[in-house]
Amino acid sequence: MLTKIKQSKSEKILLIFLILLTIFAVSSFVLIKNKCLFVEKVKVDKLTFENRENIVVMNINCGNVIIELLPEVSPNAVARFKNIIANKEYDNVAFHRVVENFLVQAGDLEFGKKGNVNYTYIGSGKSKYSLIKPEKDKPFDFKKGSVGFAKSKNGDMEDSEFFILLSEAPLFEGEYTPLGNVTHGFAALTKIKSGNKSEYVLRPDFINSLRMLPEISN
Amino acid sequence: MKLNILILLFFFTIFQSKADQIYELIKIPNLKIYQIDKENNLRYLTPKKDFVTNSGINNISCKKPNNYRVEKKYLKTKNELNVFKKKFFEKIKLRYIVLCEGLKVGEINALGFANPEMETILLNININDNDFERVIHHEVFHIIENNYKKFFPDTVWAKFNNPNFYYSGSITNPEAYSLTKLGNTNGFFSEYAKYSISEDMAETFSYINSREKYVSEVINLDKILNKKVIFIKEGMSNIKKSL
Repeated sequence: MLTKIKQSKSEKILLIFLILLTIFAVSSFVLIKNKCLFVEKVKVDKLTFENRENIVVMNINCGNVIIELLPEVSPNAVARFKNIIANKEYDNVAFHRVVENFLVQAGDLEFGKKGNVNYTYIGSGKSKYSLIKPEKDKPFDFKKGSVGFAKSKNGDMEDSEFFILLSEAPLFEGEYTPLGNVTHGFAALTKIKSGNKSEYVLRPDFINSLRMLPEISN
Repeated sequence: MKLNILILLFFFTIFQSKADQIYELIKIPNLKIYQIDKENNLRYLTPKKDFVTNSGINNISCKKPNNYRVEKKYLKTKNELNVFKKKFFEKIKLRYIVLCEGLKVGEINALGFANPEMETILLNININDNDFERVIHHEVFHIIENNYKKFFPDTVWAKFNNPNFYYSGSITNPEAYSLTKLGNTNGFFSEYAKYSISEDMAETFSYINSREKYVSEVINLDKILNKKVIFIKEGMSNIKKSL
């Protein structure tokens, strides 16, 4: 004959503790797995802009990043950037170089494309366009969120690679061509995968898409 | 366990130390801005802690300097370089000056080092003022030479020396590093000038810019040095014309 055994007080406490532990473990796993959980999503349609023709929307894993380009500071560089965007060539291109808390770099159109990343040469690729001369004479405050063209591997020229600063870098003035500034979605940039001890990232994050605002709105 | 913690700290330190704008620009870790000279756009940097880095095949190391000496040598450097204009530094591509102590290049004690690729010169500030001002100009010339080799051809320079003279090309005797002016010049301002054509030119440039009176006297007595001085001045004149 079965007899019903009543739980002791300590057994009840142990059971509650185990249930709480399980909830904590599962929720921690979800939180750790989802690095974008606490990143505020930028909804482009909720924002208003004055110079819509100079607004870029970059979609990455943790949401949208809005960049305002500055053609009055660097007309040729901005024209090049817009041209590559218009041809959708930045889509699925890796953030191949991430210096934690300092900058993220992307735009190697030759060796940084998703599905065709070449880890030996990434960061040294060329676009189909010719190199352009830097435009770094005008004053520009390189601050957190500033976007600039990276120098090509063949000296003091530029091609397609660009960087976004995660912290200020006043010494960059006169060294790099400024392209613009991030106006919204900075937090998403801080979640881009870094290379731990190396600046170059193995299995990097990618730009999902990079579009001019009018193209999205249409 | 302790070893594990030390290894973790080691990697952490390396990674953190490199994550800054100065490392990004000139590939030397652990530096901070000391002064930015708005007049000629030179950026003076100094180590916040000792550093080791690579330049080509050389390991370069330098130590965090004494604050008093940094200020003193910064003012000295600024004073020496004020004879040149902002446009000149832009043209020759010199932008960064690192002031540090105990500079070593390839494990050998050095007074200065020029890295034209990074538009940088490193100066060992733990030396006397006389040598220091000579080193400043010496290293500046290495930057100039790298970008304007066409105005300073080796083939022309080599003909100035006596036909039986050969540059040593290697240094086994520490005296050969001496920047002290030679009593009997015989075509060279210092012992170090006998090392290579490049060092000979740099020494000549350095004397022209820091020992003007002595140079004007010695060239009357030493025909070889006279030719070398004219050669360097002509090269510099060509650069200034192109500004």
